[in-house]
Amino acid sequence: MEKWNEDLSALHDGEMDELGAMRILRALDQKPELLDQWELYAVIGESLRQSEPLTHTGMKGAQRALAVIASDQVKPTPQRPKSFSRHWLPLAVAASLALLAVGLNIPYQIAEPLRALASTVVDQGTSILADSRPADPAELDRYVDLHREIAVPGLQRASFVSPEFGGGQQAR
Amino acid sequence: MASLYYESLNPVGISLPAAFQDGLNKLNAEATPSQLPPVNADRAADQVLVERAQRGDQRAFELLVIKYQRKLGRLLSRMIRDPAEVEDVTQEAFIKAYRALGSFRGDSAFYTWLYRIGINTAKNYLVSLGRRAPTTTTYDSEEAENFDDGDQLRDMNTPEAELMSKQIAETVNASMAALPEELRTAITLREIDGLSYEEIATLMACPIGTVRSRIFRARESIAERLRPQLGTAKDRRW
Repeated sequence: MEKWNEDLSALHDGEMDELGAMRILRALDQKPELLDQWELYAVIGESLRQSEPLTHTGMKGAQRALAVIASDQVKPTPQRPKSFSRHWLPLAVAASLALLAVGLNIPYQIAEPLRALASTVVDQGTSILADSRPADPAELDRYVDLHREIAVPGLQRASFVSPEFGGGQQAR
Repeated sequence: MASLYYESLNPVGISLPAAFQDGLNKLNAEATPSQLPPVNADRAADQVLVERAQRGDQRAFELLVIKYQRKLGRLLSRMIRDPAEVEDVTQEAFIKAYRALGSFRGDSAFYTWLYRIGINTAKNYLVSLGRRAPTTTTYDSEEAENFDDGDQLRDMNTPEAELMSKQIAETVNASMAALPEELRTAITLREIDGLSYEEIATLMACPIGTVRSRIFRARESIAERLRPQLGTAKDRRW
């Protein structure tokens, strides 16, 4: 039992690897007294750190919450995949904004702020990808080229390099 | 500046032997603000459990609940006067935290995240009752760690609870005073100064395994005296 308590003490300090932690967590079903020990360690730590005395306030509520969780009435929401939301979403938004501006043939006064916004979002997205680059009109043109067949009629002639967007070449 | 920070974290006035205090001051001077304990120490300590809980391990979440139930209860007591209501809001806050575990990315310490959930749950509760919720500035998340409960808690405690709390504090302090010096130093460096086992091993010039053993033996010695006062968790479960 002493070995278990020593492992528990190390887990309390975050000095236990995941394998060791799993072993302790699995043992809790057979050794519920480890929970008492864990609580004692928490009380000792708090008591040493705080000038104020300990209370039992909140313990009933905490135990009721654990009972609800144990009965499987609530489930944790699954972790959101970081890859899409953090990496590709900004780029997708930027592309949508850019295509919208071009596709609808929006006048320069409106399109320019949209282009700037798109560029900002691209910047944020690419910085997250550790590949921070400003939006390159030529690259955007290549993207539009690749999707020309499925583009709306106005977009088929679009170019980010055109003077309308501050570039130097006319749309093909 | 840094040593003042450490002094502020040592409310019970446990003094370290001069040799260790010098070493600690050196560590303080070298530490950048982001390295200062106990925020990072807590974050590291909970990381394994949080990750396990996120993968659906209820036992891991149970350990986190046991660890922070009193702290959260104290926090909510500052916003809600009625103890029965505090229990209800604590229950709701922990359930919300469990549900939302998937959204916890580890950008802050687990308790800081739990603290925000607790504050929001309490505010919503007060608003639903038509009571005025405290403003956000009153409970800034920066004070999530090491907030001082102050006189308000003393007012809320029943005389019996206050006496028991006082007895627990006295027992812990008396047990600390009775510990052999190397055990007292090891647990002080860990619990109050928030150092890792590796840092303590460097300071105390001993292997990490020895640090681990000393901290455990110190805890066991204090727990031995404290156990009769706390009873078992089973006695306190509802």
